[in-house]
Amino acid sequence: MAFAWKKNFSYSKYASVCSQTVRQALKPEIRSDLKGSNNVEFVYAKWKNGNQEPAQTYRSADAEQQK
Amino acid sequence: MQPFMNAFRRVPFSPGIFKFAAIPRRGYAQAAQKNEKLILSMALPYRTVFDKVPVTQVDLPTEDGEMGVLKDHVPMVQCLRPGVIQITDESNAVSKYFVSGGFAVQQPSNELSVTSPEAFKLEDFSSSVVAQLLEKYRAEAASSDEKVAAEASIRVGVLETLSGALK
Repeated sequence: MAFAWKKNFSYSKYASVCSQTVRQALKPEIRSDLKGSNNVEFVYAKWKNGNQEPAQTYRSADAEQQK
Repeated sequence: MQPFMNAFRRVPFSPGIFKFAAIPRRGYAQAAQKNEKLILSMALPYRTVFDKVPVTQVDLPTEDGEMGVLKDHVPMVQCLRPGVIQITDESNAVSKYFVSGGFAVQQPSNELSVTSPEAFKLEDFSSSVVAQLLEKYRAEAASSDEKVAAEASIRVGVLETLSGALK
């Protein structure tokens, strides 16, 4: 079914999940070349009553594993 | 003088005054020149894979289904599913990239612009790693937590497409 992810996710989240999965499936040599470049998928901050709440980052799985 | 003045409309400075101001005449944008061949540009956020390369055919895995784009394709915007993009260039050499999604836009000028978060050649993937990940995420997809299960089933979908492409 086309756009099946719409039920549960925003497009950003869906695109992040897919690109993380593709990166995870790479050969280890290729993956180590890329490690530095894609640690943060996106940064978001919610606004409430005119005030910006602290920014949240959605990090790729690589960054989590490195910690 | 006449062609130049056609680009402007003559408008009186104010009613009753017979001097004219030349205001640029507004019109529609001219269509870009149509290229003879299909020109492919494929880019990731951090890397350009193809930059205005003439090709013969591009096969795209879109949400509407698999489609092959030749020159003079009808202009369109397509959302891509995770899958294989196959490019046949002018010397009939075929290159395949597995993309994680993105968009493909066909312009009337015969330029095809593909953008994706990730794209790698099929040789860059490891079948054993894919098999391990599939096992892990299939287990998670059976989880009772709806969010975890939904996210895992997306990953399983991507990995199953990838393992099919790697065979």
